[in-house]
Amino acid sequence: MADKLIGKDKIGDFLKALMSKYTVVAPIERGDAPAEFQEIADGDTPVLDGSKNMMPPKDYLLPRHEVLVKIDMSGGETKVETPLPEDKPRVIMGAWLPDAQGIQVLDRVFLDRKFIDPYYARRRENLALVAVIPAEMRWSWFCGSVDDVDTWKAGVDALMYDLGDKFYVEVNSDKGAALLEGAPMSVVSDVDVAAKDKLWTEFKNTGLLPFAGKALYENLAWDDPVWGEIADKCIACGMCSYMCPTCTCFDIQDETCGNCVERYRCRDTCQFEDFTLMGHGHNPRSTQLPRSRQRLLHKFRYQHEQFGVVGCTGCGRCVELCPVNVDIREVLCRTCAEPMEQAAEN
Amino acid sequence: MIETTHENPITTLPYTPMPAVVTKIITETWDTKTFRAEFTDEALKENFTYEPGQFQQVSVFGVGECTFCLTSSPTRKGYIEFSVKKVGSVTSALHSMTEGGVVGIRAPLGNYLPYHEWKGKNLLFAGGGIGMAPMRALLNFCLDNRDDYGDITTIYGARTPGDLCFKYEYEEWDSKGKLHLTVDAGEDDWKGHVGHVPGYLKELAPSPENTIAITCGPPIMIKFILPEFANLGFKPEQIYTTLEMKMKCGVGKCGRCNIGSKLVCLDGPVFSLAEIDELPPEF
Repeated sequence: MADKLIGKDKIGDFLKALMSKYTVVAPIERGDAPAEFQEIADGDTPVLDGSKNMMPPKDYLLPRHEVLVKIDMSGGETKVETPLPEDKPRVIMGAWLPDAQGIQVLDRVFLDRKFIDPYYARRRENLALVAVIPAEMRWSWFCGSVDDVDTWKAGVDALMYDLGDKFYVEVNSDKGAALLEGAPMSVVSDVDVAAKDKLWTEFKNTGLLPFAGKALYENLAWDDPVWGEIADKCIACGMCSYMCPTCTCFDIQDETCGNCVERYRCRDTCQFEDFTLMGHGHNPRSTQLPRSRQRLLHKFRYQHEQFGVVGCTGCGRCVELCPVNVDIREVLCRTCAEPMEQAAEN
Repeated sequence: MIETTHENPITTLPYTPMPAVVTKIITETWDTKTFRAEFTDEALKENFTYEPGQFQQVSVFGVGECTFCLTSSPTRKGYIEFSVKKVGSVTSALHSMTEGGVVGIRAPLGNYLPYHEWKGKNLLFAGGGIGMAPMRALLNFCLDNRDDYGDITTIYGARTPGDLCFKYEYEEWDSKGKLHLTVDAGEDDWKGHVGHVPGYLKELAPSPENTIAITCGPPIMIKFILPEFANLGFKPEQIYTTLEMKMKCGVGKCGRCNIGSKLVCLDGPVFSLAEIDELPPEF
């Protein structure tokens, strides 16, 4: 499908038509608070340009709380049921491109290994993803530093570039084409293409740090002193994991009500002390230092070794929100840029 | 949408435990019991297969789930067994269970001891304490396929004679193979060897020729036994162990059990020493 334009004044009608076929999830403004991805209803006016986003739309693939199995022990028999998510088509609209790329990382974890996660798979099959490049770049983004962002486009069904009073829409899949079928769109002009290319270049160059993507995972050392320095500052609040579009770690717990048990999963993080604490008291990551190292090596090295993708999309949330100002960009510059300079000198 | 399953759902619904009845509880030591369980679903009970070295997730519904190795041998069909040391909430709930109680099982999980590559070789098991449990699966498997292997030697130790598990199988282990027992501290009626497993290994000095060593035990035993194996001439490729890490899902998703880029639940729990040497030092 050729690239198209859609005027911002036509978005309301477009969403209305879309909502007859899909559940639409988009950022809804909440006063002074950042917008939140919600299932929109008639009359909602979501902010699709990405300017109000803070939380990634991860909840719609990996809910914060999800019942995995229900066990009924009434009547002397143990019955186990598996409540899989409802089979309904859903569109996420207005996600930042780095958040959409985050879903590619989730896919590797939940769909790519020996076991497929049936809950995630059911939601993912039903999901169409429309990402956005906002008119103004977020100050904390460093997407182009962690990966070749041109490869990210293939992971979204459609990509909207905010060109002021209109969106420039690139369609990348059949799902995306189906989504936009019949939408009130017009053809693009050379001026529009130039404006879109300019915006893309700006996105690519936002927050470029002094190291190349490849050196990243090769240069992170197990015994780098930086892990100790992060650990000294870190208060293990888990904010970085909670807001992260690629963090997937979860806990599984039982909740009992009478003769019934609900086994649910909920978010967890490698930053918590009891994450790897075993019943007999041994904990392989018993202090903050190995926990700080684990989070960053997992994203930048282990996931690359496992799947060939970098587990960070440079969305910058952890940079913006860390209460003790641990700046992942600084860490990467120190661990990755220095060896490169040395290599250049040799 | 609710889906109820009657077959082993591990490949399609990997978080769904299957009910099993505890049919036998053996008190091994003051803090360890071995549980025998049979799936309530007849078809699953009949068709369930696994390999020595694999593990399972055992649920006490309402309390939680815990990781245990399958200590039974797949040659002995109709049931599975797991040995439990009482340390936390789930293990305590299991210990207070009686025969006829219901548990949930997710199994089989993980890789296994590559016994098919070891046909015609001598096998040397060196275990300490509850570390004998994962090796018992392979030991009994090999004794049931006795003609496929050369010498089958077991060196097993514990703190005191009362801490030795699986006493009811020693006769079989010593008649079909060779069993050497040792304790750190004997009691008056203890006629066997006194000393740690690594020291006893040095004393017995088995030949590494055409031999695979399988070892499992507390970290301190592993630390001291590896140099003894090396002194005897065992190469890292000849030494196998099973690793332990905290797990919740057991299927590669929850993020707890990685050592570097390897996951103990998917890439393990069985590793050769050669493979372990490639991992970051995090266990």
